[in-house]
Amino acid sequence: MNPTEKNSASSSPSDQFLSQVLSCVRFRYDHAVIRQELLDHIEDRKDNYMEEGVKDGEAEILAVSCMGDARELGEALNREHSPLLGWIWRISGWAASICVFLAVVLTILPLGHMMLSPFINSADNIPRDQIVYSQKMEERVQIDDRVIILRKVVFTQTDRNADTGTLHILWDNYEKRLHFSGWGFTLSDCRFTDQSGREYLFSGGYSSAGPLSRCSTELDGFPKGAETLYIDYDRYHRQFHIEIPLLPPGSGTGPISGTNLPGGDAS
Amino acid sequence: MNRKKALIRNLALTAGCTLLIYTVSGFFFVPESAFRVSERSSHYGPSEIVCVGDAGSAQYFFGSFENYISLTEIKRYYLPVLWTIGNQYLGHRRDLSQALDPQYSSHVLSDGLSSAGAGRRVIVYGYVNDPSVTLLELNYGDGHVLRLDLPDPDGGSSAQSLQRRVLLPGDAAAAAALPSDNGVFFLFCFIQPPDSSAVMYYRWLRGLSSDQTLLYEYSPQTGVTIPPPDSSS
Repeated sequence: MNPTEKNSASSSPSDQFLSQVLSCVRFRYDHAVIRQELLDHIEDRKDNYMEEGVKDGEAEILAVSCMGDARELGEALNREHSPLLGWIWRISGWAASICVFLAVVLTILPLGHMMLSPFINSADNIPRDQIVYSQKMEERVQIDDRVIILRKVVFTQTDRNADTGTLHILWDNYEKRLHFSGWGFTLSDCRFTDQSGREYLFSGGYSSAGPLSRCSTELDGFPKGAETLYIDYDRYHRQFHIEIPLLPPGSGTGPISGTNLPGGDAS
Repeated sequence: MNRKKALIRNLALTAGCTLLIYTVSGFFFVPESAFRVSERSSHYGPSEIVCVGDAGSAQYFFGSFENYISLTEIKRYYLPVLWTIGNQYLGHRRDLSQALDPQYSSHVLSDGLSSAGAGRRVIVYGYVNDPSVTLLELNYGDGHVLRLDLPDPDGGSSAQSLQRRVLLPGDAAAAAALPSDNGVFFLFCFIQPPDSSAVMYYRWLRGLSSDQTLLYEYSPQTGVTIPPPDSSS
């Protein structure tokens, strides 16, 4: 008598039946599920018989006999639970779990950061008491995949009697290509001039990290009465030109214009 | 759920998430894709790839864009199949009036311990514009001299043959040259140990003729020394 037969001889009819069925199913990782499912069926039938007045031991034998031939059932289940499909299913499950985890860590969280960054990062931390004038705008230009949006210019002075102050340009930029890699962008390579042609040097700024970068650019020594700011970018066949009529106190208003010069979108 | 349906669901999830990770995360399966994204996000190029150096942990793309040359480092990202953008040196304008037109860059080799790392990988690259120069010598300190015979600008090896031949993993020093449409592209690579503070980048780069006559010498510290800077020839 081998150990299985010995075990069968000493166990209940349900256990014997289940052991015979499972011995036909080669994909052993499914044995627990199959055993539980068959056992539930047997228990249900056994309960029905006992409700009809059949004694416990007889009810179990009747319930097992209703399940049919153990070998036939086992072979049918073996076809349904083939090892090849079973392994592919298990491995695909692991792969899907890992991919979902990595997707959450590597993409969903950065996307969440992108959504929140306009609220977390603020380039507009200019002391309110130094503001002489500010004006909002919505001017877009594009170079390659990068979209640059000018939001606001703010002119500040620490000494209100001085002729010059600092012009803050608040702007955003993002890449249309949905890929969190590559290099950031600043306006430091731009040429800033006013209506007289005088050039102003990039004197500082701020750029937030993230796919949507909120930025500020500062131009020191900017005249209080300047009427127009020109921003020109021209590098490696990428160009754009932005013209911002400024609104110093007491001046009129004018349209803002920004254009991508030929070659500005080098896509 | 039917096992086949679950399998289809798992495969769809795996494919979708892989696509999402690849698209959004900043990793690349192909180093050249990373190189192209690096250039485009810098608003430069697209360059023609002159050659690719493989240093094991990184690949170096040497690009030519109009009259500019560039060097872009593409690093392995943990898994061997994933690449990410490393350092980048763009827009060195070629000086065709110079017989030797070298550029150089260096990267600290991380050892995960100190800022000095495991030394620096120094890369010296550029063009030889004078066809009478047939041999380059680079002294990178402590008497170490790399020699490089230049190919005929009108023939010889091709870009394909140079690719992946240089900067092999474990090489302490390597050199390669490649004829191009306008001059000969050259490349030296060597590792400076962390305590090598005496030499910044390299001591000198010399161009010699076929009879070993010294025609040109360039030092990163002093510039061109041979011929003398005031020489009209």
